[in-house]
Amino acid sequence: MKLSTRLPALFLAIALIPLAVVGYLAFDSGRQSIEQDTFNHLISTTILKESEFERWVQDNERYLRALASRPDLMEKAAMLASLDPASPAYQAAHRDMLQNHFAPALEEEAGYDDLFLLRASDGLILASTDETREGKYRESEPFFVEGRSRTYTGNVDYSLSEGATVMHVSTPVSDAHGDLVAVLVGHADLMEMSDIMLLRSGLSASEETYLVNSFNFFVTDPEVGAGLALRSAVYTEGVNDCLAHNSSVGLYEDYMGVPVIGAYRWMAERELCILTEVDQTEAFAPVTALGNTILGIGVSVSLLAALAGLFSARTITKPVDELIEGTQEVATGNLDYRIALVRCDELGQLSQSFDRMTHDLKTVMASRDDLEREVLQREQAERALARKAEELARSNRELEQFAYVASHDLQEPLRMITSYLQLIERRHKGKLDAESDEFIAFAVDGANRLSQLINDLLSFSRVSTRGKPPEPVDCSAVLGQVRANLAALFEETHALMTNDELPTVMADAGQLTQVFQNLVGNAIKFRGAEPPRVHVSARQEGDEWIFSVRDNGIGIDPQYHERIFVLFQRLNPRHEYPGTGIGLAIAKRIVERHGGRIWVESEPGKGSTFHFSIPIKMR
Amino acid sequence: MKRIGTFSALLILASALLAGCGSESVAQPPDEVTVQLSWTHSAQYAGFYAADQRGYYAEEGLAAIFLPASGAGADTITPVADGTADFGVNFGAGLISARSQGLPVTAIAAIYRRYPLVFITLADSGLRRPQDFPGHTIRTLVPGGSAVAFEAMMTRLGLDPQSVEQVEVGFDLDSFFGGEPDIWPGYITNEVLTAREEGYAVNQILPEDYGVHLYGDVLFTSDQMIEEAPDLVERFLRATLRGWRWAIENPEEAGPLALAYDPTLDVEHLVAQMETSVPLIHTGEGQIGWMQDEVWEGMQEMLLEQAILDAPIDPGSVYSMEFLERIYAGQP
Repeated sequence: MKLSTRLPALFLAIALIPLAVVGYLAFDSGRQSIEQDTFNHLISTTILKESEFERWVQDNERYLRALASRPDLMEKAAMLASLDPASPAYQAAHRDMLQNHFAPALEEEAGYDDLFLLRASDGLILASTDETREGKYRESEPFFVEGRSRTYTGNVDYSLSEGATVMHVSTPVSDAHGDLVAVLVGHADLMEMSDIMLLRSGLSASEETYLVNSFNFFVTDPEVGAGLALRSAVYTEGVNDCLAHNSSVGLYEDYMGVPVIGAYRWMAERELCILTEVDQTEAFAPVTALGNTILGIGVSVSLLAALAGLFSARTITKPVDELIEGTQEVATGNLDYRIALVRCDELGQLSQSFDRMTHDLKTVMASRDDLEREVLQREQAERALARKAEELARSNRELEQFAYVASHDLQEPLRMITSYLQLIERRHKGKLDAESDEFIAFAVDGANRLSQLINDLLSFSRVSTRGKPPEPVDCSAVLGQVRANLAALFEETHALMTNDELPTVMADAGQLTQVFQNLVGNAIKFRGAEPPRVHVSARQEGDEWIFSVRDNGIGIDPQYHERIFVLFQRLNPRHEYPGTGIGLAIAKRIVERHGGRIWVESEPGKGSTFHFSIPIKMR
Repeated sequence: MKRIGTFSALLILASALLAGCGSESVAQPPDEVTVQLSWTHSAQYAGFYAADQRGYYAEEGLAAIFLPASGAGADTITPVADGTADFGVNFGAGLISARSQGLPVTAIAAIYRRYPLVFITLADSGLRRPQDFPGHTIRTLVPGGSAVAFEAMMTRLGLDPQSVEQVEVGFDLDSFFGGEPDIWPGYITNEVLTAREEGYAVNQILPEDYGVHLYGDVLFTSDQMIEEAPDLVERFLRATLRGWRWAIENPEEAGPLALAYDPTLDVEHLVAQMETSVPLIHTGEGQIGWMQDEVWEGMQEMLLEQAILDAPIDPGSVYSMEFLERIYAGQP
């Protein structure tokens, strides 16, 4: 989620969660306290109504008892109970009963809308304000059974005979002797009961109290459902629970399906249920208002929080967005871009640091480019060099090959020329003129020299083609071998050779012998007037051995110090110093093959010293 | 029934064996029960219809078939006694007579706990009490039913039942409205309503007013059922009482349920019938279906008085509270 969304959401959550919790708690406690208050009110209402109902019942009973104790009524009742209905006395008593007692009682509105007299012996209705009832029997009815011994108020229940729900009140009637003769029964005026129930006890408009009998019929009219009494059954949660003989409170739907708060009491003696109910919408109106207020506050606070969140998100996210944009721009390679946020806070510092970093980066990038270019050039140069070296090595190899092949293949025809020239010389020497002999001698000499040159060339080229791998070589032994090889020369020239202690080095023994032999040979060959003296020494210098061969010979002009090492270069006439001029070239080649150098220190007439180096470790 | 039970048990056993395990989840077909009604289809059986149509029977694993009575006075007890039907509906006194004659039937609940029998006379006939009856005509009484109540009422008032002439006129009220006969035995839940619907003012003479207290419709079954399938009896009764409970709470919906079995019935009449019968069923004297010893004893006394019974029988053998007590957990 983006910061610009998350921040307002966070603000909203921070604002809303406590608000919701507090709001809910306030609402819930408000609701609970209202619920409790309502319960208490409803319970007290039902108790009040019940006591009013009981007082009404007692009033009715008292009135009926008073009626039953009238002497005239007692007398007439006794007559009705005992006389033949056909007799005039019975007829008179019956008339008196109705006219003097029953009719005035109904007119008094004393709480009865029907009165009748039952014969105590069998429950026969002797006299009744409802004429059709006379002659019928009520022998099994509780109001008769109970009414024979006491004043009794029955349940409000459905009478199949009456075809209606009625409440019977009965009381015994005795004759002058105190003997039971009849039972006086009245139908209580249920309208009065309804009025008691309908009389409002509180201020709430929807509150109503009503009675339900044990077979779920309305006994009194509920306020809203006028006309339901005694005609309609009701099966609400409250009624069902109450008819299970419970007295309690609850939230349920009333007979109209309206959610109500209700209190109900089971009046065990009357087998009636008294219910007081008030619409939940009305009861909970204050808490609903509270809820609406909380909701209103909640909405306002969340709007404010959302706005605050949005604003702070903008103050944070806008520069952040600019930073992001800047970094993206820089990332694409635009190092000249500057964010330049004008702010005094951390974001401003961040922006400055970033700009500085971009600047530095640009410089670094420039040096890096130079460096890269240089590296590239060097690599190119190295590659060119390596190519050159490769070419050189190849041409060198080819040259060596050529030299070897040439010198080797040239030998054969040359030997043929030499053989035949010698044959001619032997056979025709002295037979030709002196000039011809001389010419042949020149030719033979030339051929010999050529043969010598080719042999030298071959041995020069063999330095690399026939070289052996290096092995430890004792230089003293080498020098001893040289002395033996040149024994004839030493003897002829009375040469004297001395040497220091010589080391053992890694070298091709044959080739090292040749180097020493060439140098010692040269030292003796180019001798002066003195008998030749040769001294061989060695010293360690760095990682190589430097060997020196010093003599007391004729010396070499420094201008020729380089030239003497070149193939077939001679400084002196052949007739004075024989040789093809290959010796030093071969020595140089061998030393170089071993990774060393060879050089000379000399002046004419002052002898020469030849130095060469051999690395201690062959690479 | 027994056959069906054995057959289905075999089926279940076979399928369990085939499945290779004693699977309990095999859907059992519902037990089919037949109910012999005491009269033609009407709102008088609304509770049964409600249990059937609202699935209470199905919930108890039952499927009910209702057999209406072939006509007035038809014997609805023998079919239950001989196993043709599993349950039956009859008025209480009839059941005592049957029992005394050795039919193995037992009442398990009282549906109409007040006898809705009423003797109707036209308002202008002047016949307002039983004392006015002698010398007049009455529609043929049903032996063991309305005859019992009539005789009891007349006897109790010191009147001779034979002083009223019974005439065979069928069951069409039109002849009564035409003045023949003078007295019409009917139900306050039926004929009284019809008279009102037809616009006739009538006097109602209730046996109840003259010391005749009888149970109306009583639900009964055979002793064999109680012995061999007490669980099925309990399930059937529980679903039926639930149907009645719903019916009295919703009379306007319950009445017309009869249309499913007899579409020729009149909706308004059915609703009125249901509404009138509510106080007979739900009297405020205990749970729906509950029975009282005194009423059964009173009925037997009445039958003895009329010499319908030769000798008293144990009233406890006629009815059983076992299932009501189990269903209502002993709460009357």
